[in-house]
Amino acid sequence: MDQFLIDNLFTILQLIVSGLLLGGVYALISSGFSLVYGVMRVGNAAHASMSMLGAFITWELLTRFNLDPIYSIGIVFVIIAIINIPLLKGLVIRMVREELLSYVMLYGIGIVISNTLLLVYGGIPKMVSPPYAGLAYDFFGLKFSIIRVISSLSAIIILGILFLFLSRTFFGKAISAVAQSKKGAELVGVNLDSVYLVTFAISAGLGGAGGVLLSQIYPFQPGGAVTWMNKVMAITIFGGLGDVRGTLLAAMVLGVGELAIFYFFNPIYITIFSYSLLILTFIVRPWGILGREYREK
Amino acid sequence: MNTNKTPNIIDIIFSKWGAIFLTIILALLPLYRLPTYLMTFFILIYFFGVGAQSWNLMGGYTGYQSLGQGTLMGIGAYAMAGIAFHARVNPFLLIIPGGIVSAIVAIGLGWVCLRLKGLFFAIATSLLGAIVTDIITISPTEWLGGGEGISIPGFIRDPFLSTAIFYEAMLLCFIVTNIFIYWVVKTKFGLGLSSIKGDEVGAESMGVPTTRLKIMAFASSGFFYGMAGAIYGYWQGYIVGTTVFSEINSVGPLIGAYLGGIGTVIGPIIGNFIIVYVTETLRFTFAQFTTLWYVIYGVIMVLVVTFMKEGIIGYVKKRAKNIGSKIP
Repeated sequence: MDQFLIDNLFTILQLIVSGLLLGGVYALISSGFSLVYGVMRVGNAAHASMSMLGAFITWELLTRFNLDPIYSIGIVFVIIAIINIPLLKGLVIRMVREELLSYVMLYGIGIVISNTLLLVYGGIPKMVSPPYAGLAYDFFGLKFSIIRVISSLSAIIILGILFLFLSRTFFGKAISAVAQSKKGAELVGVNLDSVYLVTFAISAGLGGAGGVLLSQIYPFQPGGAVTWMNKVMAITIFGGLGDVRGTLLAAMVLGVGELAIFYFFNPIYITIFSYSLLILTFIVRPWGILGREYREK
Repeated sequence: MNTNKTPNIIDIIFSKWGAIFLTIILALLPLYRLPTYLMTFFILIYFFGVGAQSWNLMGGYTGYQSLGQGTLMGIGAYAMAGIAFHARVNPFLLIIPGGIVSAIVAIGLGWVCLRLKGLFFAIATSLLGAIVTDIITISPTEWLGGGEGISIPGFIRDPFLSTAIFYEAMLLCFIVTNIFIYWVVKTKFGLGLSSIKGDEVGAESMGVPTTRLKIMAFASSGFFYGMAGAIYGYWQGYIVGTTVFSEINSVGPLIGAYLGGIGTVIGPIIGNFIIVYVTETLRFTFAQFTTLWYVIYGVIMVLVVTFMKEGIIGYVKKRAKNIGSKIP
C-alpha cells in the first residue's frame, strides 16, 4: 500500500485537486435543488434537465455567435430563470409542500425537456469547447485544466453571491425565513408567492448555470440528464437536504471519487458509485453527512 | 349485495359476471383473426395494464409511489432471457420463474428502498432503471449479453398463431393480476396496506407489521409485472437494457393508474386503456418521430398528475355517490 501511494502520489494529488475543482461545479447545480426543496418542499426532478437545457443553449451560443461560455453563464441563468416562471405559476404552485406529487409531476417535465432536446439535437454527444479548451496551468508538475479552474471559480463566485443574497439582503432573509418556518414567515408578513417565484427561478437558474460549466467539462447528450440528476440527488442527499456545508462537502467527495473511479477503474462505474452513495446515505444517515437527526411533526 | 330490488345495469357491469363475460369475449378475440396491429395493441394494453395494477398496489393502496416499477418488469424479462439463453429452456416455461426472480429482487430492493418515505422512495426508485442498465452493460457479454442484448429465438413460425399465443398469455397474466388485486385489498394484508397509506406510524403502533407488509406488496407487484415482462420480452424476441429498463415502462403504468384513479381496482384498467389507446394512435400517426411520442407522454403525465389527481373513477366516486360506491 505504501509503495502504491508513493508511486501514485502525484496522480492522487492531481486527482484530488481536479476532483475538488469538479466538485465546485457539482455544488453549484446541487445547491439549486437543495434550495427549492428547503423553501418549497418541492422535489425538482426536472432540475438536471434545466442544466441540460443550459448546456445546449451554451452550445448554440458558442457555435452560432461564437460567444465565450463565460458570458453564457449569465445569459443562461436569466433564460432558464424566465422559462421557469410560467412553469411555477402554472403547475408547481399548485403542489407546494406536496413533495411526492411535485416530484412525479416534475419528472414528467424532465421527460418533456429531455425528449424535446433529443428531437431537436439528436442523441450524438456534444461538447462545448472554447478556444482555450486544451490549455492547462502547470503548477509544480500538477496540471490544472484552465476550463476546470474557470468553471470552479465561477461556481464558487456564484455560490458566494447566492450566500450573500440569502444572508444579507432583505428578500434573501425572507427566503431563509420561509425555509425555516412557513407559518412564522407568513405571520410576519412575508409574501409567500413572490418568495416561491424568486426561489424557483433562482434555483432553476443555478441549475442552468451549472449546466453551462458542466458542458465544458463533459460531453453531453439529452439522455444524460438522468445521469446528472443521479449525481445531484446523491450530492444533496449525502450532504443533507438544505444543508449548505454538507452539500459542498458532498460535492467535493463525489467529484474526487468520480475522478478516482474514472482513472483507476471504468467510467461506467461512476453512476453506480453515486447511486450506491445515495442508497447508503438513505440507509445509514438519511439526514445527511453533517446534519443532525431530525424528526418531522 | 343482499338487497331485494332487482339489480340494475350498473350492478351487473361491475359484478363478477360482467367481468367473466368481458374476459370470455377478450379471450375469444383471436378467433376473429384480427389484424396484427390490433392484436399488438391489445397485448400492449394488457402488458401496461399489469404494470398499472402492480404500480397501483404500491402507489395507490400502500402510498409508496414508485418511479421504478419498470425495473422489476425488466428484471423479469432478463431472468427469462438469461435462463432461456443459458439452459435452452422453452421461454414459455420461464414466465413464472421470471416473475419469481423479479419478486426476489423486489424483496432485496424493497429492503433498501422501503425504509424511505414519500419523496425519498420516489427518488431511490426513479434512478433504479438507469443503474440496472449500467450494471448489465458492464457485465460480461456471456452472462446477459452486456450492452448488445439477448435475442430469444421464437419457436412458432406462423406469425398469426404466435401473436395469438402471446395475446392469450398476456391476457391470462392481466386477468390473474386483476383478480389478485381485487381479492387482496379485502384481505387483512390489503387492509394493512391501506393502514400504512393512512398513517404508517399509527399502524405500526397498533401492531401492523408495516415493513413486512410493504416488502410483501413490493414483491407481489414485482412478481406480476415480472411475469408480464417475461412474456413481453419473449414476444419482442430481443432484450436490451436500454429498451427494457426505459422509463416508459415505469412511467406509462403510473400515468395510466393516475388517470383512472389510484387506489381503485377498475381505475388503472380504464386509465391505462385510454393512455395506451392515445399513445398507440400517436405512434401510428407520427411513426417517424419516436421521440415526439415520449414528449407527448411527458405532457400527458404532467397534465394528469396536476389536474386529475383523483382520476376518472375518483371523480365519479366523488360526484355520483350511488354509482361510485358500487365500483370496486
